[in-house]
Amino acid sequence: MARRPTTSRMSYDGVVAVAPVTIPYERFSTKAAHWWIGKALKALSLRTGFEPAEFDGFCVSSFSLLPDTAVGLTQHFGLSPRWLDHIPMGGASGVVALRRAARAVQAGDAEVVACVAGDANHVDLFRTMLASFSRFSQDAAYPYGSGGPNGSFALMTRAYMKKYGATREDFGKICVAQRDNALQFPHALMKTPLTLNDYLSARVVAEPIHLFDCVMPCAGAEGFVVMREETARAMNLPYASILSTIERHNAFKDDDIQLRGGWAVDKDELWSMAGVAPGDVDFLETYDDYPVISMMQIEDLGFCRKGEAKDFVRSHTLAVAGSFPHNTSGGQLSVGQAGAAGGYLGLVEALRQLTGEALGARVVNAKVGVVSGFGMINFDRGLCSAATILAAGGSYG
Amino acid sequence: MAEMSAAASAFAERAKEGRVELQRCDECGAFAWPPRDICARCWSDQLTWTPIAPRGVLLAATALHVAHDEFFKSRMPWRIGTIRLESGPIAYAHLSDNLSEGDAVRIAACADWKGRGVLVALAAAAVAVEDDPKLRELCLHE
Repeated sequence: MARRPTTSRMSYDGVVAVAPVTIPYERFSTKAAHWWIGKALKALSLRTGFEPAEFDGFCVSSFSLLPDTAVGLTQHFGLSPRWLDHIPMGGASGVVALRRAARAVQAGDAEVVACVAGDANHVDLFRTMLASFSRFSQDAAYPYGSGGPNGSFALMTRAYMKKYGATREDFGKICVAQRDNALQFPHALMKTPLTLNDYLSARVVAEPIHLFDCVMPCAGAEGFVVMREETARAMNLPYASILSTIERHNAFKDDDIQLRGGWAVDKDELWSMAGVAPGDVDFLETYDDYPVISMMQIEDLGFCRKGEAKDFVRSHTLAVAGSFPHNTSGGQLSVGQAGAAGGYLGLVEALRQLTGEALGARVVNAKVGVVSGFGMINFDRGLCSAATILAAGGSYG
Repeated sequence: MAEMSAAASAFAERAKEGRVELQRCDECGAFAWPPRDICARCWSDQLTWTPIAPRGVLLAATALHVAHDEFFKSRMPWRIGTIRLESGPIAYAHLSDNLSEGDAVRIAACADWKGRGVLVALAAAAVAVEDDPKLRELCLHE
């Protein structure tokens, strides 16, 4: 589809990500998105030792800021950045924020970039956001039962199961392993164990989607800081290096039903730019708004062949201590989906694992992690895909 | 009246009269769905509402058991599906009860109780919207 780049891409050498922070989620909250984002900024300031005025770059993602954008937030928070970005890409926001901020720092357009995603969740906000999510969704998806993403993902999951033979047990194995991880993660909203039997016997939401295939909407925020490696060293901040990133929108637009995402277009570049192979990866953080999407990412990122994620899942143990640690904090399925912060959750958790700051279960000796994002069911499919390969402390290779 | 784009409103006006019309690009001939302002194939803005062959194939179906709207909440489970229209585009449609995945379907259009134009998929053998109790409530609400 897309023309291959004719020149090789610049590396991200010399730029790092530090200070992964999570503002503990709440199922419902009367606080505004501004509060959640501001709390994350404060946590980034405390963690890095930078004063508010020292952040000269700011990147934000949020669904519930209206009528504000990133611009209004500069005045709200007293920031005077020389680099400002607002990324409306839902589940792809974290990786996209990282790659944009990294290039800004690399080019000298900014020195210290705070990347934050946060959302409110007051009663009824979720429903009103569903109804006005996008123009195509409002015109040609929401009128069909007002089920929101559950309806769209039910149809995608149906088609995926039929084509590739994945079963509810396979999806359940992913969800159960993530719950095991979440039980050790202090900020997870889900605090009780989940068995495969619980998963299989849960109430139906939209066939074949059942309760534990769905994330719980909540309020919360996530953030991290991008800066030069020498700055992180000087400040004695543990950091992760960026080996490679990819981003793609509206891939495979002529597919009848989405069974693959943009990662499949760009995965060779992801691995070759990083100089590592899937076997070198210590853990994977996928965007898990529904488990079928995690399976799609396992395939499209190249951990197994297309259609074989079911076999991959069956042949691995997926909890932190398992043969293939996946969604090590519990993912959105067990931690909760704090709006756009859901698009940061995997990246922030990966940074914690790679900087030795895990809050829950720790992947022993984690050197290389992969994070992928998926966002925005604009009509019948998710349009945004992104991924990054990160390494601990610049120590890899 | 529900919020909708001007193009969706133009579709709804036609759907209300039972006309199944989609925008067709004057320049490249592609049919478009959802309603839009620019052709996604050639970027022309010359889109003309054109009757389609009211046929398609049901690619995937689901029954919703949770909804955020009173009309559907009181009529659960509610069936919807993904249709490949014979004219080209992919669309969601409300489904009559007797349809299975892979079926050839007949496409009808109506305005729902909120005035939104919607597509409805029926068995290819001639049955009308009026023959399905749920679809009758969806489409014949006046």
